[in-house]
Amino acid sequence: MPALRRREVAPDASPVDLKRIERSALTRIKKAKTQNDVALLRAEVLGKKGPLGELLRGLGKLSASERPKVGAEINLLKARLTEAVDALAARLAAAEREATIEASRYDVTLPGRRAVFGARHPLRIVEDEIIAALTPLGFSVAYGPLAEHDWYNFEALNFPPDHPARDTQDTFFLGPRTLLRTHTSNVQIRTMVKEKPPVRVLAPGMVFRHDELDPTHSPVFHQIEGLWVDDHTTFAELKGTLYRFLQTLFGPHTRLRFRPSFFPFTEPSAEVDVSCIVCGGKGCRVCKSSGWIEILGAGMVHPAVFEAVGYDPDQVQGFAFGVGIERVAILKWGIEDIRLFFDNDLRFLEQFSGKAP
Amino acid sequence: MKISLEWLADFVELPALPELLDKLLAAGVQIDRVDDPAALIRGVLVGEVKSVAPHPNALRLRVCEVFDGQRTASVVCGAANVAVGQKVAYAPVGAKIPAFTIEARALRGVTSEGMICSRAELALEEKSDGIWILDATAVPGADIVQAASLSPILTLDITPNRPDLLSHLGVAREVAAATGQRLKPSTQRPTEKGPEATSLARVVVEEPASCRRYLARVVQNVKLGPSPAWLARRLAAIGQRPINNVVDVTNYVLHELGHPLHAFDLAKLNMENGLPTIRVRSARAGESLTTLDGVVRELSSEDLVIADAAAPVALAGVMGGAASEVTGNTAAVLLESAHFDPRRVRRTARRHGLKTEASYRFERGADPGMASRAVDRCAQLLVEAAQGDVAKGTVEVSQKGEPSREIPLRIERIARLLGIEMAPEEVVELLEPIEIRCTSRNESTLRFERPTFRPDLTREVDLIEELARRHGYDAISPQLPDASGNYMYTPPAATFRRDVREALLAAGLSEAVTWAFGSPKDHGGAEAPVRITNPLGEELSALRTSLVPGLLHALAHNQRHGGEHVRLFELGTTFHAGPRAGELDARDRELPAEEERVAVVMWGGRHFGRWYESGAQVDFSDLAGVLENVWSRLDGEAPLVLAPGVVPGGEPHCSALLQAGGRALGWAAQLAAEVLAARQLAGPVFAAELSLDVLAGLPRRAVRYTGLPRFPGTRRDVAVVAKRSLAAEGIRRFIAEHAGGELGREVVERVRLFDVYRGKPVPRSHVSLGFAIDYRSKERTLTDSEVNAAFEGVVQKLAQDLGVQVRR
Repeated sequence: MPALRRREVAPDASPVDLKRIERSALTRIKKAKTQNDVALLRAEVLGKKGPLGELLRGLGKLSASERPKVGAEINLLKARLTEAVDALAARLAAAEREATIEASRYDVTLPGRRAVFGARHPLRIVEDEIIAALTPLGFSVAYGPLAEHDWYNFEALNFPPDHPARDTQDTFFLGPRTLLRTHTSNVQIRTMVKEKPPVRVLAPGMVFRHDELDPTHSPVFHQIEGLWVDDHTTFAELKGTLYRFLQTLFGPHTRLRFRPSFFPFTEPSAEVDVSCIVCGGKGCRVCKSSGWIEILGAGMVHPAVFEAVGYDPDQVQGFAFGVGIERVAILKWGIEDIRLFFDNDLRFLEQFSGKAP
Repeated sequence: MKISLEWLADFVELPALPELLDKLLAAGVQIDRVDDPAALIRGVLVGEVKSVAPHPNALRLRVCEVFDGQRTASVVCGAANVAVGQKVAYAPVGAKIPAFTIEARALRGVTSEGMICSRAELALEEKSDGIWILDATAVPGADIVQAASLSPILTLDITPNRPDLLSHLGVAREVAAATGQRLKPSTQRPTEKGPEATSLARVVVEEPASCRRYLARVVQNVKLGPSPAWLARRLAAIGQRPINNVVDVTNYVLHELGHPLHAFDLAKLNMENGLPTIRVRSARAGESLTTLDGVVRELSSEDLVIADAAAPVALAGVMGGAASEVTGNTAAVLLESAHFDPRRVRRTARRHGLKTEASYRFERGADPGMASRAVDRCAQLLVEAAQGDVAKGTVEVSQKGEPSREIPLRIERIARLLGIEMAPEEVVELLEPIEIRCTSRNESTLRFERPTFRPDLTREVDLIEELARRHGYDAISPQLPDASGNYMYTPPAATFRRDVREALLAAGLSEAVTWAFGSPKDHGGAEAPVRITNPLGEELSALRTSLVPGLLHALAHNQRHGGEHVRLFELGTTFHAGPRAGELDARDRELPAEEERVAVVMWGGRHFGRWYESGAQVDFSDLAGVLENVWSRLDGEAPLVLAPGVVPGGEPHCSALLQAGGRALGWAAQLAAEVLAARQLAGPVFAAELSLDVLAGLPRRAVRYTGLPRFPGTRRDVAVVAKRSLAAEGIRRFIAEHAGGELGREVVERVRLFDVYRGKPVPRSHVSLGFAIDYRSKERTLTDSEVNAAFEGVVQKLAQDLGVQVRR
């Protein structure tokens, strides 16, 4: 029986025995690796059946004078060993926790699993910005056909047949009197033919000119045109509208310059410049040192246009303006080649909005 | 249109250049560029060539001694036209010419102390043949800028309404008005000598409507030769090459006064009634004319020509004929100064593909009041430049009853249109300097007469524009317009398009913009595309019938440039032969139909190659999901249905026709291998195209609140092994129809496909589909047994009616 054997070699609580017991316990603690080892240590070293328990049980054999002293020494040893085992248990628990964390660690730096947004086309971004700048003034948005009749594209806009003004808009023809619209001004006519004044519309869309494609010209481009007609609209109000519009688009410090010009469908007509959006007017490569950049054409609707759509030019008046969307985008972002807009290269499109793959 | 400031100064005192440019700009004259040679040249002198010797080491070079007024320098020159005695532009060492500063340098062993310059080297013209030979009267040592009157040259962009600005005199008028001056008086009638012009030539105008005025002068004894230096220099300065004194003089007057003139060799005009005769008439069928450019032109009866007694000798207002051209043998010339109908000139010029300085001005409207002054000036210059004798008087045919040039202006209209008040006196003062004169006035209205050189002024508003221009556009204060009145509506088309775009962007597709025309190869197919009659090329001659080819083009571009995951969409217009829909007027009926569409292409990794993709590529269901997203963003009332069908260009096993609410919307498909191969595209590519017009017309779901369910529901699952050709949606609807059994259809809250399994043990031709059926009553809690009964019913019905294998 093991108990008997232990009793046979039973220690006698001498300082030598206590030292031996302590040394052996500490060795076991050092070698312990698991919580199970800790449980065994608690049972076999610190437990009642362990060597310390045995010594305590043997106190009865000692004299009353020795008993307190030896008892105290045994208890001190037991306390020390208990502390060491507790520390071991805590250490092991912490290591296990650490191991568990390491094993299941989630890489929080992984890019998120997301719904990727597509990129808006820069021409649409500009179109949206222009519409957003102007709709608060009371404009609505209208669309019209791209394949158009000469009358809507030219004649009603006071470009008579055989007039040199037509030279300024080289045209793609579909038939003798049908063509691809050269401007979105056809929407002016279509809107006024359909509606009674007041009329306040923006007409964005694709337009066509018979030009070869090169870095600064495209046979296909985009315009947005504004038309405001009622019974009292003035040239001063055209100016006010364009100040609000262009300062919203290019910043509140933008200055405007109005120069007399000619469009068959407006009178008076103006070419409008903004202070250079790159140098602010000091002079640079973009504005060719002039400090100004030509941005749009505008004017008061020509009475002949009102007559064409059946309005009485003595009763109604209004203004119109047109801006090239590519032109604004090119200026806004410093794009050097108009062809980039139509390649639809994602490396280009993704620079303007949205996506980070 | 080039203007020399030195020439301009004949008519008006010029302010400093920057001020001049500002004034012109404010007057509405667009300045394209300003070239000031004086700013680019420093220290270039008049030199006299004293001797020319061959270069010892180079065949093409010469060694010249050039005298600069003080010393003689040795200059190596490579030009063939250098000769002893010439006055040349000599740039000594240290002088600056536009390209560089002159240094002494050895050329093949001979040191050149400077350079003899060509006009091109001084940036006076694009390209020169040889060195610039100056007028013989030039004084050696004089600065070239003064000696040759090198003047700043303005290049102006004149709008089509202002033909009056196509001359030095015209621009001078604007400068005078803008600076508060009067024009300097200029030369008048020529010195006449010899017989009456009417005894030397006659003029008959057969088409008075097309030629309201024809004036001719005869100049005899002209000596054809080079022009005087001053005249040649002025023409050269504005980019006109001097030819001979007669041609140069007519050209000079054109650029000075803006009136086109033509000189005929009088002796070459066929006679009628004993006199060389000019007939202004329409060409006759079968007639032809060799024009000055050497081209034989077949004439049409619509062409207005100048003929002699026998045949046409010029295209009126466009170009002269070769047969009556002034040559070395010419002794007498007939100078034509006429006013032709702008439309007639334009049509003739266009028909013959010609655009000349003359036609350009006549098309826009030459000044009928200038005809007489121009021919006088021209005749006088021929006296000076060609020692001619000007015959007395003119031969003239003019129509009476000039149209009125009077324009009324109602004072109140000014403020109404411009937003600024102007007193009548101010109005008169503003218009007077530009020669718009007040002829009468009453309390409310002023009447003005426009000058003959302003054909653009025809109505009240034209005068108001002149007032705004003279007052200064920048002097009108901006005001915000008044947006009151019965007008404010949300534009449904704009909102609708925005919703579609937002849904597609949110689904990860990027927005493309492609051209509305392309190759007939791409847009042929089943329907013949609408064609452009004057395309930029065959490849750009068809209006698009679909947006997809444009997107495939963009996809190919991205694939070529290393793109790996490409998803694009476009909202755009397609064109279709045949009439337009909707309300049509007569003009609309001539136009092709247009449709607004949206198209989508998708290719590449399902998750753009991100780490969680695990190799998955987009497939048809990704495409279907995108379309469902759009439909759900639009909140369509009827469900979007994708039905298996035949799509041209789609793989037969993976093509769908799109419908909603009984309307065909478009298609969605995996593109066929041959479509990809033809465009060298990597696949698989999934594409769809929908009509926005149809989509926009479909009803939207009206929002109606219903309370949340009060009784618990219960779920039953069923798995079905079906042939692949049996569409899941059909089975789902069958279950929804029948799962209620005796309880009725209302208790089937929803049937949802929750699992699709292909692979063992399901045979290859089959697929296993898992459906979850949610039962719920609105009135009570359903019992297990009644639900079980209903469920068993549908399970049996599936097996019986659809012939599928059912697993519970």
